[in-house]
Amino acid sequence: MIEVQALCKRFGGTQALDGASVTVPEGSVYGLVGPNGAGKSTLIRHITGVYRADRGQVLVEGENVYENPEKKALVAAIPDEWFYFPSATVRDMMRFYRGFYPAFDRDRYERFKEVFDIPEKAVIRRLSKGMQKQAAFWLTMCCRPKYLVLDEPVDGLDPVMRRQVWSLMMSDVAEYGTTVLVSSHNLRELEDVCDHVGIMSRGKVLLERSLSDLQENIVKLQVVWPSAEVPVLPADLPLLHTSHVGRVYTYIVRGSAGAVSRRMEECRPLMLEALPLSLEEIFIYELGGEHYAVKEIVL
Amino acid sequence: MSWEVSTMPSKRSFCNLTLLRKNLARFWPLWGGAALAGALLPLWLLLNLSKYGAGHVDGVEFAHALYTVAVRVAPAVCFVYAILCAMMVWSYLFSPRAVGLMHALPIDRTCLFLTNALSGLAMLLIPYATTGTLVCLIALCWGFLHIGAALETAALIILISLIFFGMATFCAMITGNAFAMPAFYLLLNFLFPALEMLVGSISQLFLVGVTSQYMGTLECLSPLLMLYSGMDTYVEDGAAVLLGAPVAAAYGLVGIALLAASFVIYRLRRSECAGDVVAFRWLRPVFRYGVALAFALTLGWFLYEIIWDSLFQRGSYADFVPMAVCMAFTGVIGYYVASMLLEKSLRVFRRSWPGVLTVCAGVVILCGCMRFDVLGMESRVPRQEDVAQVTVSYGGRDITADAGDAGIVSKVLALHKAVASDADYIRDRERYEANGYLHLRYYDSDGDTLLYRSYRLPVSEERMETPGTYEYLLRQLLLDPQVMLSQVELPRGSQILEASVDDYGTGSYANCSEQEAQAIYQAILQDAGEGNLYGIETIRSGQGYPAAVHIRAIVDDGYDVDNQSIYLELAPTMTHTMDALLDAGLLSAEAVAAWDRELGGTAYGTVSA
Repeated sequence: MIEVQALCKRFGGTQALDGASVTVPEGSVYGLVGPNGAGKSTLIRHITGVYRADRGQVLVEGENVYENPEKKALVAAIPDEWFYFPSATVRDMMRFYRGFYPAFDRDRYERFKEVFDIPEKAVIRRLSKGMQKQAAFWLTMCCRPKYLVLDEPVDGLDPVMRRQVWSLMMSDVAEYGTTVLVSSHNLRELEDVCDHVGIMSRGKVLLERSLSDLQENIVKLQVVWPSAEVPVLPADLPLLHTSHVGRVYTYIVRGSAGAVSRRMEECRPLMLEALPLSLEEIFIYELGGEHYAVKEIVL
Repeated sequence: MSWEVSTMPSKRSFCNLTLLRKNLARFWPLWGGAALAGALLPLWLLLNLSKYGAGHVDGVEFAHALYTVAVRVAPAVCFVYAILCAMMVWSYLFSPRAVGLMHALPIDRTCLFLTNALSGLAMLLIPYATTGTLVCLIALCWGFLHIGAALETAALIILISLIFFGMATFCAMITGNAFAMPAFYLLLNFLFPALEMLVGSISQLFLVGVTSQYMGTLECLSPLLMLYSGMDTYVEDGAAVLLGAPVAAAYGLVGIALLAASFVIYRLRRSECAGDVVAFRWLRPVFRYGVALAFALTLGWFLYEIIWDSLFQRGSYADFVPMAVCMAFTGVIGYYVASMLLEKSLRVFRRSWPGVLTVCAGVVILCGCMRFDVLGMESRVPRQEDVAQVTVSYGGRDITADAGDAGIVSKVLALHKAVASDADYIRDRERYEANGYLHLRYYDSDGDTLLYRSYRLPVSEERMETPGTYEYLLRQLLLDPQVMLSQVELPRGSQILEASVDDYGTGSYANCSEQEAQAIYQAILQDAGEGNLYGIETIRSGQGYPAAVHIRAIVDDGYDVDNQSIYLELAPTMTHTMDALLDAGLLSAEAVAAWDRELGGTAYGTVSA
């Protein structure tokens, strides 16, 4: 398990992390989402032991990961900008990684040659951005990490390769119990793979839950009222957003679909339908309250 | 697969072989190229030996050649090559992406630092090892290998490499910028001698007698300069001698201390400082105000010279207010330049007024300290007990007195005090009324310069007669027979070879036999003993003499032959010398008459008559 406890980090005059706390359960696929500048990459660099925290701590299996080679050996990461030595080939980098990660799987490296169609002896610098990303996945997954930390991992990959990569990771999760922490803007993609989600904004983790909890705790209601006049809704209904097209009103309400629907029924609508929210919608509505620049126009 | 197996706790490692191999493999063009260049030396040696044989080379000559490489070549080569090696192995610290990879690897900072430092040192020493091994093998084959010298040379090179690699590593640790690292390295090596020269040069503009002459007071803080001045080699009594090995050893220890300090800094250093000019927040004001000071001292002085000195300055010395303004102006520019480098932005002007005020105040205070001589440089006169030797030079009269000549030394010190106390008087008149330069140089018991002052003195006739004035004391000093004797006496055991007369008017030159030269020398001694050499009046008048007498001698102490000479302007008052020159036939009545005509009197004629 990865536990980030009240992590604070300041860069000059900018508070990048302001008491962020995250718990990534063992064997989970944890999606870290948030707007630009929320602190996701900074948090990930703490988890990989690159940054030293100003305050708070990052624990991997109960031990501080900073300056802890044993715990760092369990974690492999693909940062947003993967570094390779300027004249290195994939094979060179493989030898380099193999020297550091005790669980490096050479057989797997050989098997993945067929998955990733990259010339092993080509200089990485000369490969396309997408191929470089593939090389990063190839090598990182061969490290057989217990914790795989990915920052914007599939940027630059074509749809087929994205699917391929996710499939490989999911099979690792299923087969070896690998824990994946992934930060991404591609919420639709995360929705398909994540079982836990943390939403970050301004250096804080606003909420983190399992995806099912999250989806059960917020509901979209489409309501048609009998007359043009909209009845007064219950004052204690935690309404996050309202919009309408003609007489069809859409309400985003915090709470379970059943409970919220029952409260709404009290106002005697002509028609009422509860719809699940996508992760993207949850992300937008949750951050709307944080003064995030999501305007009406988005809806 | 079991995690427990693959991640079993391992013993703590201080060196990672993968990283070491990777470093050596990545940067092989650097150390390989250096090794190849170094291999030219044994190749050259081999070709020479093949052509000429080893008959003219022996172990002593080989040892001397090795020492020469260590003393003359290694410091400069290490100075340049160490920074290149350090820049290679620490290059990841300057890129956020690279530092992200290296610091995410499952090794701790201790292992990372030690492995990289070891890689750098290996890259630094491999070319020397290659060259040295090949040279020694050749020497062994030809039978002139000197194992002791080879080991000493190897030790010296390791020590020299340690200091420069230590300094370069230290610089890498305090910056996150690849361009700043070599700049800091140069600064660390030459900052203090450069500051000494700058402060000396600017003080010279304000202070009477103070010169910008480099004294090397802080040279020990510049390893490159100190290694060159502190180490030497020569052959004596059929053996090669190496001097200054303790200097190299001391710097080697400093190098190790710097590596230790770098290790501590590396552990404190934050990964996110990659790309920053300085790696620590507490260094930012040091950098900002340091650059401001450098700008103030260099560009401020330059600005003053091109604007004020050439157009508005009246006296010989700099005007305080314009100099302070120039220095404050350029200091502020330096402050903003440093701020822009630190912030990586041109927008550094908002809320910068406290810093600007600090720079202005600091520069004005510094300038004021130099102008008003807070350190007492202008009035500084050494204590007599500290002076092992003093040399005085004024208008061609060169006097040297050792500590044993307490009377003369005391008179020189009294003169110096009088000059120093009249600094304001000299400052006001120097530009238009000065008549000659007075140079004073004091040496300590180690033969190092204790103090050097050079004055351009105005000399008034009235003050020459007033006891206590520097003119009076200078006149008395120059007239002192003991001083005159000390000026012309040759060392004991000197063998006089010849005497000659240079006639400036005709350009003619005449010399005489050894015996006649001996007689002329005795006549000069007699003149000096009677106080007949020229004095301050002659120098003040600016009237030159038409001829000079020159005695050449040697001192042979059985080991070394030292040349000695006396070169003395021939004053009319030197009657005994004139007579001796006439007797030796070095002077003719026609020449004397011509001199009188030139001087418009009969001074020489009176003598010759």
